[in-house]
Amino acid sequence: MTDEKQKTGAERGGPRKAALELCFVSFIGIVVSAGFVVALNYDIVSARAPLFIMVPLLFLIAAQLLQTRAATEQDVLLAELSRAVRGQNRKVNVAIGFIAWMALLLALIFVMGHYAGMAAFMFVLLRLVSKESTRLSVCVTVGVTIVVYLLFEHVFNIELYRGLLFRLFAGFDF
Amino acid sequence: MGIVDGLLSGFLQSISIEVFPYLLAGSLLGLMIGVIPGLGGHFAMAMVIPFLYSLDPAPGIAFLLGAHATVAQGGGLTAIFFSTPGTGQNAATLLDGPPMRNKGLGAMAAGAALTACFLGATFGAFTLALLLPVLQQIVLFFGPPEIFVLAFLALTFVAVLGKEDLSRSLIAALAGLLLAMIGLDNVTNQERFTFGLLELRDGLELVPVILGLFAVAEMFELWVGGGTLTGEGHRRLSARETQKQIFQGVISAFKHWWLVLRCSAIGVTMGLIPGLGSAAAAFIAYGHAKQSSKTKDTFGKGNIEGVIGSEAANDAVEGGALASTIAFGVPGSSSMAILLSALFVLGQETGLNMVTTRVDVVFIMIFTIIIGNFIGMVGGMFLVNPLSRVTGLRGGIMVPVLIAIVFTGAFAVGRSWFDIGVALVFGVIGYLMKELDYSRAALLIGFVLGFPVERNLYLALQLSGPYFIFDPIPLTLTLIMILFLGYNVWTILRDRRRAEPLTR
Repeated sequence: MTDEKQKTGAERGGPRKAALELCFVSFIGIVVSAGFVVALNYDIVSARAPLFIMVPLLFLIAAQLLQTRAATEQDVLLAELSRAVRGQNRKVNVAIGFIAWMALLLALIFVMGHYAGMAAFMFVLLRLVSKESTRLSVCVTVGVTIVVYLLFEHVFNIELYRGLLFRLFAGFDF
Repeated sequence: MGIVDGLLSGFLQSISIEVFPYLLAGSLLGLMIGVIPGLGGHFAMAMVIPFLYSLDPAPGIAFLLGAHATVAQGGGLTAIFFSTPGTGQNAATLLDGPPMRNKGLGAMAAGAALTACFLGATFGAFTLALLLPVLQQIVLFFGPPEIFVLAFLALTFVAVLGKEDLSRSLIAALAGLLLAMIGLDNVTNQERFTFGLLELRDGLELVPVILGLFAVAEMFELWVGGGTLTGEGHRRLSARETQKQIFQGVISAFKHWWLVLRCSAIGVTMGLIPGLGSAAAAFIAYGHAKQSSKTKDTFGKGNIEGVIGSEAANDAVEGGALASTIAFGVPGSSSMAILLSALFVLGQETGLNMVTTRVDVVFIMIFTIIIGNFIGMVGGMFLVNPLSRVTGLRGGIMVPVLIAIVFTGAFAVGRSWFDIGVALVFGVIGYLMKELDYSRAALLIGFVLGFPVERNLYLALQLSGPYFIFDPIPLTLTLIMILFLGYNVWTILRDRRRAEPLTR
């Protein structure tokens, strides 16, 4: 067990990591606390195992929060959080942007179906965001979509999601 | 039928012209499925089952087990080259495989992993053959109380021996256990933590969670950080250098024969115990490899022993899992449950009948595992070069393509749009965990063990009451766990005390 392993986010990655860890652990703490309250209403047999797990988990979360909090100045932490909220932290901005892209892929698949959705997603990211050439973007998009189609529909016999539009035109009720 | 007759008959049938083509086709299919993230051994076996209705038992078993045998080898390659476990059982390979790739030693890691898989599987198969009469007695000692405590011991090993710190790993492990509680309680049929969502009634699917935690999180990091999957630090290897590295990896696996043997033994033992599975075995073997190594500090930073240990164990598991399946009809994993169904389709009865009168069928299984893994090892070596070249591509090209494929894999498991969302959410969680050094392996292993832990706790309480923990085996395992945890907490406190004067 090395000393390096025991360092807090603040000690290893500076105030940015400490702020991120505080947010992350607080979020988990809130979710687990809510789960704890909900579990109290279950039958004793159903609640037994979750409560048995959540009690030490909540203690560990509290200890981790205190440890991270103690390792960094409060002003520095607040300043870091403020920077992130105001959009001045590049890494946070890129990460949030990527989540938005993946959420868009999810929405595209839901509406347009798997093949059209993934093709649109790949092309937009390759051409507009990664600034690859149009030829490369089209080739990669078409090639990957065809390979996925052949592999899943014909080799594995798995029908991928067709999407809301297909269902609408096929006459399904919603 | 005697053992020697069965051995000869099984071997001759396995290499016969009626059986071998099915074995070859199954092995290559399994390798291909293993390379695709999200499609695991049970998927490979499930795909083969429809063909079994028209096959005789010997080719049917060879086709089915051949497909299952090589999945882990394909998955190991994906874990090393794409930081994405092709199957859940390759998750432990992520700890040292990708760091080796980042050092420009990806082909060596792949060669070692493929060979360790083959050696581990061979060890497992031989052990199955040798210990079949004895196993029946050993497995009977492991009832619900023993499995419950053993699962916690496995979690403790993972939390303590991971590269992350103890408290963070324990948070992750407990959170993983909690995630496994989502869905209908098997005993009371009460919905837990479902928020009224129909999709959560059966709990979270394992594959989307794995894909999110490992595959999506890696893509996240690559997108945010830019560059290539292997980083900018090393040059691309030529085909000749790649082949050289593969053979160095193969030789390295043979050089570490004692480690392979010990980790394979761990794998076989874990495989014998129903419900623990190969993912847990691989992590425990990894922990053992680290603990017994002279170069502990380099584990998690690209130590070939970490790759060899975990890969040997995850394939050796099949020997143990197969033993309990064919001897007692107790499947040790979802794949073994599918095998059991397939044997029924082929008109084969497990249990006493199989181990006494159909010994040749048992030996067909044994030789299928050995020959199948050999085919997988050779076939996998041809995949290393193209895979290693793909990892040098820019993140801007890799990420959109891999995200699309990973989301397709997440959908394919349960044919559910909801599972893509699960992969996305766990992708964000996995990225944050990686950034903040929380053990994703501990979360995953907690999640995998959650269901058996709860089921066996319930059964243990029903069978032995609250004092089951004082039975000899659970008590021994609990004491080992407490001593192990206590020793590690003590070393942390000691290191802190020593560090204090230096920081003042």
